[in-house]
Amino acid sequence: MSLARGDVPSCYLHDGRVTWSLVAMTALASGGCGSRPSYWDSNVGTPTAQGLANGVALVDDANHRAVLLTAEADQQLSRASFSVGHQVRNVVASPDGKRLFVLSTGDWPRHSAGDERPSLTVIDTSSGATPTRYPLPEPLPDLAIDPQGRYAVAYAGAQSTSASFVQNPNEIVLFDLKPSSQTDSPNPVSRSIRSFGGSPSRLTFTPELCVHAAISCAGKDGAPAPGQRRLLLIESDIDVTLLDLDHAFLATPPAEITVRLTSGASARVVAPRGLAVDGYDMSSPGDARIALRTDDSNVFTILLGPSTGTPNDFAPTINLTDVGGAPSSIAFVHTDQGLRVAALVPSASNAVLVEPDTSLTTQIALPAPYASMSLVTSVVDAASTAPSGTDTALLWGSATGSGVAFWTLGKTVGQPYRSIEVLPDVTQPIRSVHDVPGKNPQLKVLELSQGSGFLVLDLLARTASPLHTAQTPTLAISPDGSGMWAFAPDGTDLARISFPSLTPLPLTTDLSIQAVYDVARRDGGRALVAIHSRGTLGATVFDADNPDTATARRVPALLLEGP
Amino acid sequence: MKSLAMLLAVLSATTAASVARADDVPAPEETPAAPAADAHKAMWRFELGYRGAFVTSPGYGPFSTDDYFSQVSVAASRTVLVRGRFSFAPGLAWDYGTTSATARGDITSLTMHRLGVPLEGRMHVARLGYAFVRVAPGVVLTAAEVQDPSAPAALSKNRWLMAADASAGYAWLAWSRPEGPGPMARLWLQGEAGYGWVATERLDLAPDLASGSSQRASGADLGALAMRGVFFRAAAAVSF
Repeated sequence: MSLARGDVPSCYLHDGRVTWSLVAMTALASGGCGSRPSYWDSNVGTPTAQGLANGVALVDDANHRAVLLTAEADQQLSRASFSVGHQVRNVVASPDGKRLFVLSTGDWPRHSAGDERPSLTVIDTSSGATPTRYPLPEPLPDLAIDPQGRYAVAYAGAQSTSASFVQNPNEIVLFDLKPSSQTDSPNPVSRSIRSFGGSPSRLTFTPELCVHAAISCAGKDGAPAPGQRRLLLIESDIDVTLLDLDHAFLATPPAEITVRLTSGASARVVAPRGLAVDGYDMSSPGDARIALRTDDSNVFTILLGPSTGTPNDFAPTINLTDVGGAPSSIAFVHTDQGLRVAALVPSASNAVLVEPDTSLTTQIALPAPYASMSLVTSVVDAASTAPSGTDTALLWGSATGSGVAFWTLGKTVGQPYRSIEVLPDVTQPIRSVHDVPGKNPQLKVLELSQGSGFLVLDLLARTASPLHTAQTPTLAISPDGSGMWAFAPDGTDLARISFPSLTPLPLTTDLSIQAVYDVARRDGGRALVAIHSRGTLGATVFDADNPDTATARRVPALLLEGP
Repeated sequence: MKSLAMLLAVLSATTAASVARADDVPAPEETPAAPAADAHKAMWRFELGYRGAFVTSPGYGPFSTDDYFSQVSVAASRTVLVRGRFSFAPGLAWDYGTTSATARGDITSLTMHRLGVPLEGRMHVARLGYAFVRVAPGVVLTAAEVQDPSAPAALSKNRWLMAADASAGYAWLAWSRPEGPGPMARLWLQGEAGYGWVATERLDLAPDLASGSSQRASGADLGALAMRGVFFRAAAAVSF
């Protein structure tokens, strides 16, 4: 008779050590004596927490699962567990917060047929459907997600440490997350990007671009037209690659287009530092443009147009413009004179407007060395009775004294722009700017580079209200725009700041806070889930609409539930 | 096998006879002189032993690194009926066991008290001892506890549950005081094996907050626990 569980019985007679051999053997043979599931032996470690639209995902790598916490009424949390691949390397949420992407290297190297291969697990938290698992040919650490939710790309990345002895850093794996049911195209597909010595470092998904107006760029019922393309722009450390996503899943896909930035005439290596895509009008062939800034003083503008050549039916036309210094930020902007590429050059404390077809430039002196900009046209125009049709940009910088300014494009007599309005009360260097979605899009939250506190900027009133904190806070904006949260990392202090009144409501928790997530509650309200990295992870749940420590609930042992 | 069947029959028959006696007591003068009680069969008996149980319930995982549960057993019984080689002895029994482990880094413990009424049918084999079968309905008190630093207090749950044992074994007469006046003291060594059943319990642990605490806290659900399975018991007993 064989033992019921396990090859070797691991039990023994405890305490008394009574060796009543016959009885014990009978009992062993009848009942067996195995060890418990390995789940209980694995420590929780430091799980990855990821906020989603309707909950918080905790990736429990030790037990190969993602636990989705969903907020319920009365500050309760419900839990659902989803299986994910082994050895999680990257966890990303989709921009809409409805899907969770978990990239796993698998049991590498594999020692048995049962060991897992690398994979990407996609969990749709809105539908509750069974997660989709996509196999990968080899372990890849980085993941880029299409903002429109159609594609995902796994890639090695230039800075990643390889799990394999030999790795091709130019290999990317493309996933079609919404494949057409009529096609039997391979999915995912693996591509090795043509390289001239570089390797991918940053990926950008474009919106629909009209690259071939002769075929037609007018789609019906929102469907893409034959002349439209979505592209994957891959920045390496020396060049940029354009990959046609719409044809990437064909059995014989067209080759990608490589735009080389480094001239073979010198040893100087030019590296891309960021790009902008003109996607205002997807039916206009004049709008299929890409602007690229580099680590030298040049801005590349790339116009995509039809081509009769093969393998792609479009081709880039490249213009190179010297803007007088290394640009720190670029954007396509609409001015009274048409479309321009705006480039900020903080080393010269100026901005440069580049005419993309002719490379003519207009220098604009700025009152401070602003390094970053964000277009706020939609907010400003929405409040205007007569929209100007030109853009307004918010400028800020991380250098001392830079502060923030509003740059209104357009043209007035004697200058190539309408106005630059500096907020005099804001002189602190700004580290980052957070958008406020939903109810209060006119607000921006400015994180300071130095000291504590932050600013809430009203784009319409042109005011910047300071909020002071006892120590450097971590900020989280409510997805519905009704307010924001500030907490001291690894501290117990928390505050809710309501918009637009900016009234802070102090709160506290019993345990130190690792992260906070403002999520939709199943019954329609909102909840704040403050995660505590203690034990098997705990949380304090507040009613986000009416937070109060008296109604908050401690939810302990989040990862201790039975497997 | 035939003896075992007869032993089981005696167990049920003597139980019924014991109940029937109260209604149908014969007149004293009609009763033939009762033979002197056979002290090998009719006795008070006190046991102290060790019980090992094999629990395969997934809910047992947080509390033990294996499927084994150790307990100490204490029992007392009195022979109430003797029929030839067979006798019947009801009693009271208490089993106690505790186990602790770590589950995902948390310290856990599970304590169980089992109170039973063993009903034991015996078949005596000369003066060497006796074989027995035993059923023991009863109740169990389980106390589960998890110490998780994220909880405001220990997560725990105590609950009474229905339980029953069925077992068979043999008691060997290890020592006997020479016959003479006074109680007939004897020492027995015995072993038995069987199956212990306990009702299933949901391990929805709750923080053990101080009474009057207004703190709002949820618990943790560790799944279902069924403390049932094959067990054996080794015991020493004295009888009078």
